[in-house]
Amino acid sequence: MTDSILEAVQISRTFTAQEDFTGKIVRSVLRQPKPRSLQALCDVSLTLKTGEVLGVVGESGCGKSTLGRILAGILPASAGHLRFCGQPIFDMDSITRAQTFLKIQMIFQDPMSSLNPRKRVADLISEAPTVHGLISPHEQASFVNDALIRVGLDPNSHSRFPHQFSGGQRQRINIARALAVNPEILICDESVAALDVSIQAQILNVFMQLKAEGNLSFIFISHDLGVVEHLCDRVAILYLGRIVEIGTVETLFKAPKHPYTQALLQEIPRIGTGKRRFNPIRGEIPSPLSPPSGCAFHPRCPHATTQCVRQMPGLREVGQEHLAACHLVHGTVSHLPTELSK
Amino acid sequence: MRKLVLDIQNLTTRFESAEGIANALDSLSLEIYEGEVVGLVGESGSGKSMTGYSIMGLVEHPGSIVGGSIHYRGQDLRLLGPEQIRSLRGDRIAMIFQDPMMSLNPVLRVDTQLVETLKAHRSIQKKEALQRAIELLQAMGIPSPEIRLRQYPHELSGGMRQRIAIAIALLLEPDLIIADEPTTALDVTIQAQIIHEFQTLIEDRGTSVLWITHDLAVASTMADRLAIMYAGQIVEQGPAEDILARPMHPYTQGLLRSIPSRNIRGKPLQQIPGSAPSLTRLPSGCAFAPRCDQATPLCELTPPLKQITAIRSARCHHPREIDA
Repeated sequence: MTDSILEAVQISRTFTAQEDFTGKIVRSVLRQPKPRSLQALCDVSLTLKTGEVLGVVGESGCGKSTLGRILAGILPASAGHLRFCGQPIFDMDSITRAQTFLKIQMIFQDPMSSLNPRKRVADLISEAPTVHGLISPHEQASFVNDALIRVGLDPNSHSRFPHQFSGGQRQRINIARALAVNPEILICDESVAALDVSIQAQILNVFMQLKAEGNLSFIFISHDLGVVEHLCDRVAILYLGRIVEIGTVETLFKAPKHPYTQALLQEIPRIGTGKRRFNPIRGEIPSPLSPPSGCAFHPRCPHATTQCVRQMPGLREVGQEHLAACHLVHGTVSHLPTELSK
Repeated sequence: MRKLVLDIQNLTTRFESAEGIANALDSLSLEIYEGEVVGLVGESGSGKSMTGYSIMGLVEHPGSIVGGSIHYRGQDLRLLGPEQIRSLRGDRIAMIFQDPMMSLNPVLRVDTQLVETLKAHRSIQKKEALQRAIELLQAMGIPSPEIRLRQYPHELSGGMRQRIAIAIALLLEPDLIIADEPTTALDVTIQAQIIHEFQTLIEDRGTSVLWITHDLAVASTMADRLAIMYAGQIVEQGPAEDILARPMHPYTQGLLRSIPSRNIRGKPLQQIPGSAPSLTRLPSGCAFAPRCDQATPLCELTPPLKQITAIRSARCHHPREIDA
């Protein structure tokens, strides 16, 4: 396929507590069980099309940041593989792989902790492209100038330190730094979550402008459905390490199929509904250390059946470009409401 | 006639530091009536939390309240001694924080903390106190409360901790609850559960609430009235529906326009230019003027609080109703 730029195939990631030598001896002497492992991601497959913004939505502990880090090459996957423009990344030699991951850049939530406080803005932005040989040292000044203008910062601020900027400006510096190595994919992990509403709008506009320029594809990780609906073309909903629903923003927000997506959409506070009462789903997000049997959502699901307790539902097509992992929407009779009452 | 529970007039809370004098609250006036939920909305540094701390008498050095009055049911809180304040705090006026560990003691079991709160203000037997605690935890949606009572806060999830902090605040059936961003750190589904249980409890008891939040959407689903804060001042106040449908202050208008919504999907958001000013270097006149697209030379003078209708006021020289 030519139109997919990044493809994740059955990515899984397991975390196990690291044991040191004495820990191992103590455990074998006391005959304790092996440390439990935590399955943060399980069989996640998704495709990022060239030029699109793919939203990844979920609550804390669902694995959305782990997924972002694996896609950016910061964290190795336990299983599965990644393809960049059709080329399997994990099979590449280390130099090619490093060059490929240079095309995938990441922007984090906290704009301050991702900037070295002792470096000036010009150095923060020009360091990576200089190291990778994209620009020569005498081009630095004009390069930094252009980079700052591109994200809406005053080019005269190039010799200032990160602490001299406001939160929104720091996030602009992070964007400028990610763009400095000419990436083809930006992975934004809660990049506007820490910002005030009025500043969040400014940064979202920067992303929209970059999207309109057309040279970038985005993975936009967020817990904020309003922001995702505004910016994204398609969206994947994650629950306890698995994709439970994926589809275009239009279909998924209008006619969500999975009960979890339906609950999420019903429970976001929106302006314009007036004072209202919530009708929340029960229970808490289960611990990934001891996930429930069958469908991970069944203990909280208002429609759960015995099949949901026993058997894990797979992701299957429920409409055009629309997949959901739920027994109830695949059965002969759909037990679920297809439209959300607005 | 509904009775006034809290009446704040011209409250000014000031911080003095090497960088200069900052009025965290600048002649703030706000009334809360019986059974009313007032949403106090603002961005970081606007003074919304400081309003809560000032009411509770929790402003610490180098800050101090330098002017104005806070009346709780006719009693001036600023004239009360520390003992009198302490007997009021937790009993008649309670506060919930964003981080539940602000109100929970990490080295005490949950039951100890609940019983302690009851015994500090009421003469009550331990058994009876425990019974009240169990009932309240159940009402807050905590499954098997008897087990939870014997646990320590660190053994509980964030949502559970916040439920317990809210239960402690509600335990003595206060008149007024100051809720400072209690659901901000929680996930959407947990936030919906907690708001649901909290709403049921305060409606049953007719409790008044000052709901402090940065999230206009949350405020709009909770509040009867809204007060919008900017740089230590309330810039607009009125019934929630009116303000959201027809905001008058340019800051409120800008805030509402910067929130992504369904009908402007994919279009650029109208942003408020610049960022909030530092409180030690406020512009003269209207603090919002440098970011305001409707500013005129008149805005170099401090705008008075204009009562626009009987129920709406705005601190602006040029308030205009605009359909949001």
